[in-house]
Amino acid sequence: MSKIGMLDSVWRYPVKSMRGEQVDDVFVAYTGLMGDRLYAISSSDAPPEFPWHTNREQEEFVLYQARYKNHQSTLKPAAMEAALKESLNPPYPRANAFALEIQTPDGKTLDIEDPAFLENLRDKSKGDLTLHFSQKNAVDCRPLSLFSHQTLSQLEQETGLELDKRRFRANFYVDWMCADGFYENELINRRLKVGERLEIMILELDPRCKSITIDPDTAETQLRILKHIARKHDGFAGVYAAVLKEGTVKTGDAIYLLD
Amino acid sequence: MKSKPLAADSINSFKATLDGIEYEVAYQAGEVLLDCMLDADLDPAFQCQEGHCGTCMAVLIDGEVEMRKNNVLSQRDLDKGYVLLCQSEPLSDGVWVDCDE
Repeated sequence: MSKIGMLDSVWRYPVKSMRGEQVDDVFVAYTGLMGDRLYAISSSDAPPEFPWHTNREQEEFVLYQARYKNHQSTLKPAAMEAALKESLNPPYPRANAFALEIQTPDGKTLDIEDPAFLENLRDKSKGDLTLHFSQKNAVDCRPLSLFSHQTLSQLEQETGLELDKRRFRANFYVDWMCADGFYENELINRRLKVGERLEIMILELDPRCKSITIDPDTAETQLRILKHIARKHDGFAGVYAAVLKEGTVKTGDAIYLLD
Repeated sequence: MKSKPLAADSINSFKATLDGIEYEVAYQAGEVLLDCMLDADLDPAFQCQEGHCGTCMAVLIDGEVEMRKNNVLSQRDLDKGYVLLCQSEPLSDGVWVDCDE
């Protein structure tokens, strides 16, 4: 088991496509980070296989900040320690523990269940929008996403752009001990241990879309980064992972290569 | 006034700007702009070819196109004139797309 890097920061996105929040000492379940993408907005205009209304169709999504009202209870299941000691899957709290409020770009704070929230989105959208909630994280493809500072630096050097890492909407931002950008690409099918217990397997490269063109602070778009990744990196930046053994993670955790 | 769409087989070419160079690209009836550019050995950015990643977004400078589908462009994009090369068929002569944003 060799140490290959450290966890620089951990992020979750309570509402799919909206602004994320940095969290620490959080439980990572087989379905992904606790509280990650539990809410999503579906649209009658979207195809059934991907029914979500996202920042791609409405860039201002990234300016909506979601906050769990009971933040602390959304980080770890109450019986986590006891369950993990018995190698049991810790039960999640009831749905109402994930009550959420949204700060809109125009400064209003709304309960996500308040019809005024969807009305606020509809003002800038077409299609019939519906709020979706599930404790099965509404991720695009896989439970976890991982992106490295080395890859970010390489992309900045290659494009001459200053890039905010939040464009890439990863769960784990990592700092590799090697200096190579895209090192994570070499970890496909490898098992990693993060912190004291969590084990993940890197499954595949993360294919990028318009989402990364959106500035997380202004919602303005810059297409060049997406086109650069398509032409120079086959459209991939970052990787997806599956959870093999549940556990908690926190900033600064060591990352080990298991095999 | 909106021009009457031409029959696709009467459109022979379109113009594309890529990496600062303007190309006259041969058009084959029934094809989308992206495929014609690839047939011409050009190197536009693209990925999914399904109309949902947005990598092949380009600005329609002139002419008219019709997108077979669009699962990624926002109203803001459409208002700025963006189209998806992988989904666009020309409806008129004189189509000109700018792939450099």
